[in-house]
Amino acid sequence: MGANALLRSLRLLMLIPFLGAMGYGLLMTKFTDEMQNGEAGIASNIVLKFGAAWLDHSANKTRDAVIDTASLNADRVVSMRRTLSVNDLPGGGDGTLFGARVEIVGFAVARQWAETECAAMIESFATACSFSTARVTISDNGDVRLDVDLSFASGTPVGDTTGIEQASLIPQRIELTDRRGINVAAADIAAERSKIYAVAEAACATLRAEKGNCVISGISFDEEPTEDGLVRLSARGEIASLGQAVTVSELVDIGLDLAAVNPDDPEALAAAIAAKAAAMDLELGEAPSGTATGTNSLFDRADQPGLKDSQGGAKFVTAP
Amino acid sequence: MDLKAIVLALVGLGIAFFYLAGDNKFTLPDLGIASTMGGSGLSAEGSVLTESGPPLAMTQLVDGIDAGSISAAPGEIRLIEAVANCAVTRPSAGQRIAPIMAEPSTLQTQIYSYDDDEIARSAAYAMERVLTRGGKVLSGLKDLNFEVRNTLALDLVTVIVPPGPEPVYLILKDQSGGIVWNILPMPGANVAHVTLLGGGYSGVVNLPEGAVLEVADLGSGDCGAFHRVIEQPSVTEDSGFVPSDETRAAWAAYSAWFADTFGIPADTGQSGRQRAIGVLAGKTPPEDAAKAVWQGVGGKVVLMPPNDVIYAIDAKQHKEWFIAKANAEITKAFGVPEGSDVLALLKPVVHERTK
Repeated sequence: MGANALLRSLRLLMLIPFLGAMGYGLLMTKFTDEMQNGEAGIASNIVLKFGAAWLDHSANKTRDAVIDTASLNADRVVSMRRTLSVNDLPGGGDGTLFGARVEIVGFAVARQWAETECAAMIESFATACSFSTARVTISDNGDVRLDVDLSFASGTPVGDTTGIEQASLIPQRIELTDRRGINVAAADIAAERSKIYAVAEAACATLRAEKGNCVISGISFDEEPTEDGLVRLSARGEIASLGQAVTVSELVDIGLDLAAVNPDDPEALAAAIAAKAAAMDLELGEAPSGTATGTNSLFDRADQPGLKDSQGGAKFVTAP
Repeated sequence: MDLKAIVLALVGLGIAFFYLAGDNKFTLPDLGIASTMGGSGLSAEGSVLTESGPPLAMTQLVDGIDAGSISAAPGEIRLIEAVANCAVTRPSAGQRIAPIMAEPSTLQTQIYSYDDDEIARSAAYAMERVLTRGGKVLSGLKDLNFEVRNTLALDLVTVIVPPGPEPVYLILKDQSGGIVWNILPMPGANVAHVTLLGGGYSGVVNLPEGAVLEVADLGSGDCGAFHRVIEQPSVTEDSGFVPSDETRAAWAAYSAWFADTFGIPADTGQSGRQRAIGVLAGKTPPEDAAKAVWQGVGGKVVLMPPNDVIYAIDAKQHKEWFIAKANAEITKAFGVPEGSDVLALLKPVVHERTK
């Protein structure tokens, strides 16, 4: 009797996925209906709020990972790209390297390159370094592109991180070489990289002096062979400081129709925010002066003049 | 959301609840799948293609069919060299030429074939899968999980040779390899010669006593201007495929070689182009003709052309060999001795500043 009841209870447990799937189906059907009819109802609110909360959670996780400079993680990486011809790969010159073996050798070279570069990084600005990911892409003309990401830890203190739980990362891009890159001999690349790391650290120090904190959240290198046997090396970095940025949840709260805006299109998003600001009688202010050659975050909310409502509510700043 | 959808959903839920909470056992309805899967597996109507007329059941032509002998391990894989420059023995006067074209059937054997490229592809894919996913995944990795495909097993296609006064000269052709040709002469049939147009991964089992087997390796490039071209313009153009000039030239060269060697046009004997478990190599015999005696693969000698192919004779061996060779591809790329720990080469190492 008892066993039978247990069996039946277990069968009832099987209903949970049915009910979950059914509930999800009903919600999404209602959401689709509302979107098609252009009306914001219960389902739209639930879906948008849930989505926004998830995005905020994800952003907070990234923030914590980037700021935790003692840890090695995939959110703070040095990305390196190198383009080679098949002949430059081991065994490439004897004509035996073709098909999938190019990819295998590419991965092996990338993996070994990661170790060499990690060793160089800890001689420079990093206190620890580890391989993160590698990709091999074979182009139509037969060139092999190696992409390697290295996680790194930094010994430089971030600065004042008080109130980090309520803060967001405000990233800034910085050009670490001339935009077109610099031509260097292959043997000098390691030394050039060391200089570039120093430039990134200096930019971060400047931002830290201004904002109270800064972290190098990423550096990317691109190496391409030139016709005269040199390597064109270009580098960009991203430094970030903690600030008060508008969260996606807040945008939803003020009624921004995120469903109608492509979040990957900053200009469209900025225009939507501006329109919403106008509709809410908010004033769109000037961006605070940035550092280096970077741009401020689209949602940088500053204490300086910004989006102000007449009742002294939230202040928003957008910058191109 | 309309009321109808909600009611329907609730009714569905009610039925599911009633079914799960009731005393019914959770069984699939009987669609007769089990009965068609059972038995010899060779008794389906229309499984043997004929030159003309409707397909025949294998049991109309063969006695003692034993499906187990198809998936049993062969006794030996014996490699046979291809004839140099495709100079195969020409059919002699009085021989009946029977060209057969086939595609792999559904009868999987325990013979696996693969070449180095197949292994390299699998190794590259395994590396990509882990190296693009990040250090965390890599750190916890216990195995590289190479994709070892079962589809690399060769399929059995049975060629039934009907009785007749003339010695038979069989020409076995396939589109893409992957066939073990099982030759079963009916009583009164005399198979004198078998020419396997190879280059793919196909072989022959149960070569009749006294018959000569030769392989023309079309994939080797030694055969002339063509390189494994068996499909003919007359066939492919019907399907709307427009061949390049290079392909046309290769076809022309192949057709000339075929006609010169065998004395018949290259596109004859296309009856087996459909998937079939068997092909009748000649005219349909009278109904009262004595049937061929079934012979499968289990314990038999299978003759295979070597090429660059590796053969395994059961799934376990196939998997072990494949993985060992895929690992060897990776260690070679890293420039370390074969047998080195591949995972150790891939897993991340943490570099830390010590000073």
